[in-house]
Amino acid sequence: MTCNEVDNLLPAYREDLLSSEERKSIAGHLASCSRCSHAFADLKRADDLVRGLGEVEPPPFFEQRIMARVREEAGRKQGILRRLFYPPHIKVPIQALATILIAVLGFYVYQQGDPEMKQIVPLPMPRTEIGGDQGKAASPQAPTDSSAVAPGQRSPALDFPDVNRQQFAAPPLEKGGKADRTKELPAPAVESHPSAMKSAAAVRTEAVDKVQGRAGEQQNARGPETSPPERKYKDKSADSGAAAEASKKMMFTPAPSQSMPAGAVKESAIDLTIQVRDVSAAIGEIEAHLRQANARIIEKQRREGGVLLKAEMAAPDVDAFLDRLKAIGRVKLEKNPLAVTDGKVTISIMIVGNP
Amino acid sequence: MPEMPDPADGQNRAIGDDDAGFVARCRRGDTDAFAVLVRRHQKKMLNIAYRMIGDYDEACDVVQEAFLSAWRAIGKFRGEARFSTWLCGIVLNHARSHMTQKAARSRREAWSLDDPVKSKDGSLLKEPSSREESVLERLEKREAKVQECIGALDNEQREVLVLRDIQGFSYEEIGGMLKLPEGTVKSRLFRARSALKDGLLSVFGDLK
Repeated sequence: MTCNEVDNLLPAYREDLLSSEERKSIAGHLASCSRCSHAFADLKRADDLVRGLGEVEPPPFFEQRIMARVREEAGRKQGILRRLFYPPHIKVPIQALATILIAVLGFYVYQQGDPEMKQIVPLPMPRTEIGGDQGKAASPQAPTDSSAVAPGQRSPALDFPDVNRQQFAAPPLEKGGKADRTKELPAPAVESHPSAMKSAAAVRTEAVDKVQGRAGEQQNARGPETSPPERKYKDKSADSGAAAEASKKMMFTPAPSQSMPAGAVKESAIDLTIQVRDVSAAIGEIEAHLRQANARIIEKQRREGGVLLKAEMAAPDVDAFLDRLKAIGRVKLEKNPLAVTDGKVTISIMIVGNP
Repeated sequence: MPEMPDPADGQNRAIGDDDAGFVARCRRGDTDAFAVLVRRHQKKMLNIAYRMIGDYDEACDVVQEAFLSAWRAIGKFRGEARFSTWLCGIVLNHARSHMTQKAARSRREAWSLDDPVKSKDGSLLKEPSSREESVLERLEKREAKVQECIGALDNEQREVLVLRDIQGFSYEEIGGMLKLPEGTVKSRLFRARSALKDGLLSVFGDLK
């Protein structure tokens, strides 16, 4: 065994952790090698020095210092729970009661708020081919409040004066709609609220009167007492008979009803598209021409690809107005009823930009 | 935050422990029971920390933090090892963490004139005695040099040396604390002893 090997094994030899053979071999080497025996003695002395190191004492109040921090920590933990639930026999029932109360109150508020929500939320637009008077006046869900008009379809620039908005806030008629979807519409919320129904019906009747130009007494007498609007619509459709069927073929053409009193002013509709370079400039010009023709703008709506302007004017002024329109842009008549010489004409002008 | 040693790793059998009753009371939030444990173990833990760190005040801080950690984690102590063994593991973890931070700090700062002077090969240089010293002074100085030599060992060797040769823990307990097999503990200890002997020889010249 070399001195190096012995030197490595000396600590284990000192701990008596070697086999008897190794132990004998090392003991023999130590007896003959003074260098290794000296190293072994140094190892023992080094161990003694380490083991002889004195112990340090904790500083005064060391335990108290530690415990102060431990108690602070323990107090903080307990403090949160204590503040929340102590004393439990008082605080826990109060907290439970408060939770139930909040839940009940929340439910009550939700229940109360529900009908209002129904009124505020814009109703689906009826898609119908029926003439202007039915579309506007008889559409059962026509909201009377201006807020019922879908906000996304309106822009501040296109807002009507308040009076017009209130009277003609009924959803616009969509061109090209084939099916009469009025029946698909959900029953109006006003059904369960007689007062609301009454007011809605009153405003609706007023709109009908303005359009048709007949006295409001008859409608007012019917309005509040009538059953739900869809039934009213059905009645009306049934009453109108063949004349109404014929009128459906022509968009925006008012349906001459049997119930219409004799001598009522005839009303026709013209549907046209005008292609212009600058839509917003053209709107201004067209509105100016309409004013010049003593027409009344009844609807103004931004549509996909342009703006729909609906106005009502005396039939004799129509030709002159159409001529002026041709000066603004390229006019294309979509629907043109038979030449109307008297009464009022509703003109739907779709203003589109040049492609 | 140093990690908590898992006592189950060290010993998987239940051990009779005088501290068990107090530990159970601590789990229920009894701080007075913990005060008893602090009183019992503070000196041993302080000595371990002091021999590991080499600075008395820093050792006090480390032990204080270790006891606080033990209080926080007492719910996780399952009693599969002695409480003192588990506590010792916490103290060692805190001491290690402290030394790592201290080493990082000292790397940033300039070296101190009080630091032990090392030769080119890393061994500590002898200090010439300047005047006649009393026996007590000589003893204190001797102890300080031994402590310096212990401090010069690498952390792993110092840990096993302190736990075995100074604190007298069994190889099994040390293995449990350090999560090492007994054989590794022994070989590490023997290397530590040889290194310490060399260090002491270079400081004292002769160990007679």
